[in-house]
Amino acid sequence: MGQYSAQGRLLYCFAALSTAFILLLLLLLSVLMLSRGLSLFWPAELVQFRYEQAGQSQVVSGEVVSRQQLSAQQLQAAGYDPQSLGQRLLVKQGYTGTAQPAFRWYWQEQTSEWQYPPDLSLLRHQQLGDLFGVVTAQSDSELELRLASGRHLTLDKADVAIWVQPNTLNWLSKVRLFLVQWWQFLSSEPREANSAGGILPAIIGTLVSVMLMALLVAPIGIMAGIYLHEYAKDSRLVRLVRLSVHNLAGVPSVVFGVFGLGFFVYVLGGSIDQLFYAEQLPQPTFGTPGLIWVSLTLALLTLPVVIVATEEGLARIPVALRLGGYALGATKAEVLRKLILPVARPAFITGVVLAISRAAGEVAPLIFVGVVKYAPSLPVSLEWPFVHADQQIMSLGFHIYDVGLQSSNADAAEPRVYAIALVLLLLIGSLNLLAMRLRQYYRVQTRDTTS
Amino acid sequence: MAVIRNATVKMSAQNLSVRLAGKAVLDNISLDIPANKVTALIGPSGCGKSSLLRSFNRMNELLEEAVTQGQVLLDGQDIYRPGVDLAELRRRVGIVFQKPNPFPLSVYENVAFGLRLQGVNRARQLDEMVAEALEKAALWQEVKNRLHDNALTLSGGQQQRLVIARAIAIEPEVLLLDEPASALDPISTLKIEELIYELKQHYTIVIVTHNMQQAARVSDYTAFMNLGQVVEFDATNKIFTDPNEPQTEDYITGRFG
Repeated sequence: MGQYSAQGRLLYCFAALSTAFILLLLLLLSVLMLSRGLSLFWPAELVQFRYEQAGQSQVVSGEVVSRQQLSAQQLQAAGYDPQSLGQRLLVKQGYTGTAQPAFRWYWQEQTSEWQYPPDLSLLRHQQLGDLFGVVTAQSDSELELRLASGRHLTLDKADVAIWVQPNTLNWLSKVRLFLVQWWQFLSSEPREANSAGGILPAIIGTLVSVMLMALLVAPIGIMAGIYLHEYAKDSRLVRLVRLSVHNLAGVPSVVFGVFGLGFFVYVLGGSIDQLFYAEQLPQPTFGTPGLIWVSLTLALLTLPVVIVATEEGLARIPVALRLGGYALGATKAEVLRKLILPVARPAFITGVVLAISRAAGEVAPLIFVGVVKYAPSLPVSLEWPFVHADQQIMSLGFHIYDVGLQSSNADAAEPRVYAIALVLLLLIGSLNLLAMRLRQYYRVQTRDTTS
Repeated sequence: MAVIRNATVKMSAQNLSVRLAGKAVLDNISLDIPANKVTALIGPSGCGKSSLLRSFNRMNELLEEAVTQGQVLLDGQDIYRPGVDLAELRRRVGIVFQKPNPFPLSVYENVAFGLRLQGVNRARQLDEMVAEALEKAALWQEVKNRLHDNALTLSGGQQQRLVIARAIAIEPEVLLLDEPASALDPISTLKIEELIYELKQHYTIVIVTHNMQQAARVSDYTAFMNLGQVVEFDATNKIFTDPNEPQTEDYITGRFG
């Protein structure tokens, strides 16, 4: 008896610990994403200091992004004097001249005359990026800016998206600036090879491709699920089909990308071009990666999710409900249409939304079939046919990869990666929330159906 | 059979054998069901009562692999002959199961379900027929103000009477009841029994029950079954007071089963 209860307690402890561990990881994930992603747009304090190196003295202004303490061994290995140096600072100094880095490390020991000048401004320029300096003169159309180095720049006011003096802002204006920056991030196009600007095309691309995928996968997946569960006899062939469908979910997604390129783009798209767009050949119309192939590949990828959810939803319906229908003289089709499908509808919706969540985060297969680093125009427009299925698109998942790993400016890219990841998480989260709402709505509907 | 007096035969099983999933459950059964009477099927668990009941409207084949031999006649016609319209058969021979199984629809829609299947769609006609069925099932007074509530919000006894109302709304000729009161409390059971007594004016009723008193109270004829065979079939009075077979007497008096 005592031995058994000890075993039970052990099992209980392990189960509880595992759950706690998972909760902790989830908490960490959300805290990291929120803090890093949100801090990108929170106006930081601007500093100005004098820096002396090799006998030269210069004035530096900008934001201190991070501090790092180096040990004596690290310093020695890098060839520095371990006695005099130790802490170094990463400063975002913005544009200071052509081919100058926007982020630079400075040794703490060699800085002096720290100031927080209230007139130090942050300017966001369309071409030059962020600038730190003091505005010395302004006219209706132009600004004159004095950089920390003493250099003067004349800027067209039309090119300046944001002009603030962060050190003078109170809390409320900081919040306002934070929101404005977020809105600009969400609603504008990327600039400077994705290292600045917004992510609107990536959001639109993800949404449109995933919605188109849902339109493709929902009817096929649900019908296939209904056939497999309701009509197919339990034969060896059907078992094989079911096994293949379930195994389809385990195929690495990049394989779907290769298949999409080989079959959808070249074979299907190529045939469409030969049949309907022959006059434009050899310039391909559909025989090249594009939105429709992205959605088709995603649909194929998520088909097992929808089929399995449909089958499970149908399997959960009590036998008594079917028998009740048959007992009243309903045919199989009537029982299915009037009793089973309405009751199972929440399960179908769940399947489609699970598929959407899965698809919204895919990256690997999409690179093959139509997602690109930068698409010059959006896949939706106000002109017929509104959705341009042959166009290449951007997507959030690939944008994270591109900004994070392909960017020439790693220091500027890092906080952007967190911000984009946060947007992707929120998008998928809100889709799941929508699914829950829909499920509840339909549950209430089936409960309150009246004549 | 000679035991049925003053009544015509509505249904009749003739040399009926049923195998479910390879297991023999009914073994060469012959039994007549008198019209407009209540016939009770009693016997120990697993004796084949429910399977016999379900073979009267071919419900067995919906549950598992069923092989049926012999005949079941409904008004002299074999319901197992090829080309029988199953939906039509089940409209004529309705069934109510042990556990109430209302549809997750409103009370009204539950009763209207079978009517709509038959093409009754005019609102007034539907309203009348639904009300009539609910009255016959002795449920009208309790639900007339909540016709559009979900049926699942009714109590268990109300649900079972709703299921009966649903079954009689389409006016079947035969009503099969598979332990209709076994999942209910005594008061609901009493109501169901009163209902059966009312209904037998219009319908031929076959009821499976484990409750001896119930069988004695509601039925006109009783068949005692054991091991897939009908041991004895006679008027209920005769079975409960002076059974021919010692096995029947043992079961009824509780010495067996």
